[in-house]
This record gives sequence, structure tokens and C-alpha cells, in this order.
Amino acid sequence: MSKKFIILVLVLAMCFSLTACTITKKADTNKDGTNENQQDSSITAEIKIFPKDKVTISMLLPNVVSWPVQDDWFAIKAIEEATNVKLDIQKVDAQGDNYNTKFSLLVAAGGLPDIVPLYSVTQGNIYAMQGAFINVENYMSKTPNLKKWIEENKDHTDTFRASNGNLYAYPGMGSGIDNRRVWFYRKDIFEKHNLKLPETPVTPDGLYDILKKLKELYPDSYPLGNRSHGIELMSPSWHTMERVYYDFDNNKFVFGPVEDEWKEFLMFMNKLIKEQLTPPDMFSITTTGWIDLLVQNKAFITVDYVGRMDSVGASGKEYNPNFEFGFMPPVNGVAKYTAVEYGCTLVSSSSRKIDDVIKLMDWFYTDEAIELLTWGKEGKTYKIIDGKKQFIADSYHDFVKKYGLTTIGLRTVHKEDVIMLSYGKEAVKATLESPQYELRNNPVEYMQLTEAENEIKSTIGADIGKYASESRAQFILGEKSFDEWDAYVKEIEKMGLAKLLDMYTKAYERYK
Amino acid sequence: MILFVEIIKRELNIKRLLQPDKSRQRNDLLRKVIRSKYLLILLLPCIIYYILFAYLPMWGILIAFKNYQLFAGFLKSPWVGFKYFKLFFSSPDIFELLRNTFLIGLYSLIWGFPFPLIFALILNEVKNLKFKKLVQTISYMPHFLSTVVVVGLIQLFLSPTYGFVNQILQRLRCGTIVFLQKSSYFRTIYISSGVWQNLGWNAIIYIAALTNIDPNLYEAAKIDGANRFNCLIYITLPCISQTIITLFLLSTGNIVSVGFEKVFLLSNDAVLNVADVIQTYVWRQGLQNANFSYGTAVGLFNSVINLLFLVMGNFLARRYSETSLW
Repeated sequence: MSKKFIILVLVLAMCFSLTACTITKKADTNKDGTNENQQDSSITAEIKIFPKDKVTISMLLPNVVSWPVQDDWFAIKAIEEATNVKLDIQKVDAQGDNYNTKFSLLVAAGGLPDIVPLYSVTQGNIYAMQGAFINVENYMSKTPNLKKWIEENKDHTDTFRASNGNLYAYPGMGSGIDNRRVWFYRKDIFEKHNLKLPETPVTPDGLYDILKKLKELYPDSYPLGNRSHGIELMSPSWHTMERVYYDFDNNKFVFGPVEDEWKEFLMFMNKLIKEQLTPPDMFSITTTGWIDLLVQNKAFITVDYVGRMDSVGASGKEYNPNFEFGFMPPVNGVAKYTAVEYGCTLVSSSSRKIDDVIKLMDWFYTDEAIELLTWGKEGKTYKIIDGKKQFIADSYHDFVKKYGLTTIGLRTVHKEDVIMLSYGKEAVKATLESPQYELRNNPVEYMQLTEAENEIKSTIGADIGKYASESRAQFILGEKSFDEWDAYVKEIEKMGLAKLLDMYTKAYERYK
Repeated sequence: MILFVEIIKRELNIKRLLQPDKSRQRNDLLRKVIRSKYLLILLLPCIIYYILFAYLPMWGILIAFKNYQLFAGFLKSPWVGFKYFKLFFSSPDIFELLRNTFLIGLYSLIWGFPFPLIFALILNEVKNLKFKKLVQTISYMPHFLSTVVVVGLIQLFLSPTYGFVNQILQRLRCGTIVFLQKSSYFRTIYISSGVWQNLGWNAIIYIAALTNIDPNLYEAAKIDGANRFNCLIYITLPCISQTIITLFLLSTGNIVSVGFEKVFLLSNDAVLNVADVIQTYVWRQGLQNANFSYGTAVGLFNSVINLLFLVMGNFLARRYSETSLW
């Protein structure tokens, strides 16, 4: 009898554990004025959008491991108090691709909340054109603040448009600077050996000389240490790009990998590989492997995210207290535009309170909201020391984790100075000085295409891209000799390059 | 009158006796079901699972022939016929793709098949029970590692700067080989790491089958003067031949389904010519536009090829052995 009972209990336990998995949790934000926070009420002045009744608006928020959404986050309370809105938040685990998957599921199955922030506007636009989200411009008359902001930031806003020219996304701005990639070098090593960058900005030959000198000093090293994305980031220095791009000087679309400049770039890299001035596994090296190279004095110059100067620098300091990265102007003074903002917010068209929701979205673009949702409230989330703002947290990461400020969804636009506060000296220098070298954001990166054009891009474009990627690896590694260059160019033209460029030209005409 | 009734009764009785089929069969079936009700209840969740998640969704295959619009739904999206299939086959690299996919699948089958079997046979000869269990447990631990972890290990071991394989090569003065960037090593790395990972897990079924062999057969053979090798060939292998053939047939059903994860993580620009398989190709296409229809069309093509191989394999198995799936 007891054996059967145990078995029954185990089976029941198994069944219950199966039913206990839910992905979404509803955050109960109906906690305005809880006991602990009785003292500091009224976070803002009297900005109340809905002065009469509290309006409930639902919002989807990604639950990122670095800063999990807390119900008592300052950002949420600030929005609620300033606008008299109750935010009904649906948290979605954002590990890996979960957020995008959940988003797609909600669009397909129905049940989207009113407000949906997204990391990538392209995905949102696909569904928006099928009717999932409202067209922002249809309600422009009711959103004066947004209208004014768009007029001041027209170019930036255009990057969020769909291929039919409509604007379905409320543009975000402010986190682009974290995406910026810059050239940086081991300042302490250069100072130790009295090395100097010959002319600023350095030319490819100048770079080669420095690399040779570093190799003599450290024979085991690979002075120019990049990961595989280094090719894309370095190629603008040779006045070319690894893909189709719009040549502003000649007003036409060109394909980088068939240009003579690209050949020069590949020959330069090939020389570096032959002389062991760059790691032979540059195409397969992992991020950890690359960081190891930098920390162990096996690589001294690299191109990567500006934040790495601080994070890898901190790792390096554990071994060598003098370890320091310095900002280096890009080779030939040209760098790719990488400080791109992807985040945006969309409003679901099946929402029952569209008029209320757009009022809230409009509020996000007021100066008060931008300031509030970046820094918070003085005394509570930041204090002023020597006339400069300093957040009440250990770091920017901690700041976001504690208060939820500047996270996607709980703002549309935020100021950049709060991010820069956590940058080291050199990273700040990089952020301030890099823009002068950066190219304009190329239309190819954000131009939206119709379905027919997308088909050409995904067939001819993808195939040509694949062949070019394959070939560049073979040329650089020496598996293909540069004598075969003409055959390679002919092959690409045979694959339909002209048709691809033609498609882009026509799409750009429409875009303009 | 009574005689008349008696005659009819007897006729009805005869009729009932001459009708064993329906009612008695139904009674038999019912009795069988009731007798094995616990087994059927045990099977029920599996059946429900397959109906819900394998059979019912099958009708979604029709979006391979439509231009699937999310909001129009399955029924209202426009028909496009074989457009996506034509799109897939018109790619200039299609032969390379098919070759890569097929070769990786074929080599995985050929290499991934004998090793678990040999491992099970060897383990079966071990006398020390504790050691046997220990080895078996350790051998199927790698199966539970995720693909990302395994690829991370591969990248660690094969790195030209700090990987131990290259360090050994350097000691032997063979120079450094950047394994992960050479097309000639790609398939070897992919398949050997797969064999290592799944060796123990795939051997489990063989080990179980081996324990079912009657020990009397071995004793009889030993009396007749058979050595170990003879036992293997004449007793062990024939006894588990059914298991071997069945598992082999099931594997052929997966020959073209080269998973996306491992290939994607192991590949880089330098090995694209051998590392690009159907799934990575579709992923690249699909990245430009969330093209559900395209993905479904290619998936359908994959399944059809797998089915062809399975049918062919089964036909051969039926022809040349007594074991087959149907």
C-alpha cells in the first residue's frame, strides 16, 4: 500500500512541475505610495498627462540578465507619477533570441500589449506593414512634441522608416554611442618603448612600420589583433567597404569587394599574415581568445567597441597596473559609422486605447521626460558634485540595474552624458574625437526595401556576398593568389552584380 | 407451433456460431484492451504528443506553397505554387550546398555508426561490473553538453596560439596548423566531435540488446571450441543484427538533416565552401526577410529527401535481410 502511495505522490509531483512553467509574469505596479516611499512622493512637478482618472497602459519589456526588471524601479514610478498612468508590464526573458521569438509569437497569436519596444526596427516594420502596428504619422496632429523632435532629427528618424516610406516606429536615441567601434592601442607599451604613431592619423605604411617595430620587441606577438569583424571595420580606412555601398562622391552604388582599393586592402592584410603581424586565426578566433591576446601582451593594436577599452583594460590591470589603452585615430583618418541606435518603440494597432497611448508616447519626447528618464531625480538617483552630475551608484551598469533608467521601453530618447560618465578617460576621448573621422551613415544600412527588392537582395545579394566572403579569406590567407583577381571579379559580375546595383539605385530613388 | 419456434431458435444459434467474426472479435478486442489497459495508458501521452505536435501541424506544410502573410493567416495568404522551391534551386551554389549537406550527413552516418557498436561490443567483454558501469556512465556524459559548449571546447583545443594540439605539433616541429580555417579539416572536425559526443549515448541501446543474448549459446559454443572472436562473429552479431539494422535504418532517415547550430558555430569565412549547408543557406536568406514560406519550402524538401533515403534503405534491408522497418 505504501509503495503505491509513494508512486502516486511522485507522479503528481511530476505533473505539477510540468504545469509550473510560465514565460510571462505580470508585474503588479499598483504600488504607488507604498510604506517605504511615503517620504519622497511627487517625483516630478505637476506634469500629468491624464489629470483625471488613472489610465492603465500595457507594455512589453525585455528582462535582460544585466538589469532585470524590478516592479519598484524608479523609471517605472517616475513615468507613472508624471503621467498618471498605471503601467501594466509584461516581462519577457531576453536571453539569446527569446525576446524576438516571444514578440513574433505575440504578433502571430494576438495578445500584444499596447506598447512594444524593439531592439531592431526592421523586424517591427515587417509586421507593421502587415497591419500589426499603427502608423505614427497618422496621429502626428495629436503628438506635438514628437512632431517637433522629428523636425529636429529628420535624418535619424528616416532610418526607422519602413520600405513603403511610412513611419511605424517611435524612434529611439541615446544608446548609439555604446555601439561605436574605434581603433585603440596599448598606450603603456608605446610609452615604455618610446614608440610614437608617426603622423596622426597614421597611413597604412606607417601602421606597417609600427607593427614591424612591435614585432621586433615582442617576437611572440601578433601586434595587430582583430577578430573576424575587423575586416569590415578596417576596410573604410582603405576607402572601400565589404559590401554594396553608396559612393557619395560619385553618386552611385558600388560593390566594395571588386574595387581596386579592396584589392590593396586584401594585399595589405595578406602581407601582415605572411609576416605574422596579425594572428593567423583571425577568422576563427573567439572573443575570449582575442581578449587573451590583448591581456597577455600578444596584441597591441585593435579595433573594437569603445567600452572594451575599459573592460579589457580592467582585466589587463590585474596583471599589469600600467596597462592602459589609448584612443588612436583610424588609419587614413576614415572610420565606419558605427554608433547606430537600433532601439525603437511601436504601438500595437489592436490596442483599445490608442489615443491615450499616443499621448504617453508624445510625453516621452518632451525635454522634461528626456531629462527625467535619463538622470532621474536629484538626491534620489543622482547628486551634483562640483557642478557635475554624478549618479548614486557604483557604475553605469549598477545605475541601470538599480533604477531602470535609460532601459529600452522606459524611454524613447535619453541623453548620452549618463553613459559617458562611466567611461574611462580614453574612452571619453574616443567618443568625443571619433565622430570627426566617421563616414556618414550609408543608406545601404538603413534603406528599407520592398518585397521584390528584398528577393533580389536575398538571392543575388546573398550569393555574391558569400562568394566575396569566401574569396577574401582565401586571398588573405594566401590560399588564392592575387593573379586570380581578374577571374574573381569576372565571376562576381557573372553572378548578377549589375542587376543588384541597379536594384539598389532604383530603391534609393524611391527612398529620396 | 412450438416446433416452429424451436427450429428458429436452433437456426439463430447456428447463425451465432457461424458468425464468429464481428461480435466475437469485438469481444476479443475489448478483452485484450482491458487486459493491457495499463500499458495503453502509459502509451497515451506519447500518442497525444505525436497527434498534437507531429500530425496536426502537418497541414502547416501548405504555407510552403503560399506567400505566408502573418495577418492573413494560413487560409487567406496567396498561393504561389512552387515559387520558393524554384528560388531555392536557382541559386548558383545549389550543387555545392547539396553536396556539402549530403556529404556531412553521409559521413556522419558512416562514421557515427560503427563506433558505438564497437564500443558496446568491447564493453560487453569487460568482466568487472563496477568498471563497466563506470565507463558506461562517463561515456554518455558528453551527450548532455550543449552544442555551444562542445564548439567552445573545439575552438579551445585547436587554437593556433594556445590550443594544446598545436602546442604538441610545435614540440614535434611540425609547425602550426590553423585547423578551423582549413576546409580540408572541417568535415573531420565536425564528424569526429559528433562521434565523441554521441558515442556513449548511442551505445546504450546496443549494450541493452547485448544483455539479452542467451548465455547458454556462449557456453555451447565454448564447448565446441570457439574462441572469443568466433563467439563475436557467430553469436553476438547475429543475435543483435535486428537491432543494428533497425537503428541503421532510423539513422538514414536523418541523413540530410544536418543541424544548423553546430555548422554555424564552427564555420567562418575561410571554410564557407564546405561549411555552407542547406540550413545555413536558408538562415542567410531568411535573415533578410522573415520568410516563413521559404523556410518551410526548404524544410519540406529536406523531409522528402530523408523519406526517399529511408524508403530506399528499408527496401534494401527487406531484400537482403529479415529485418526491416515495414
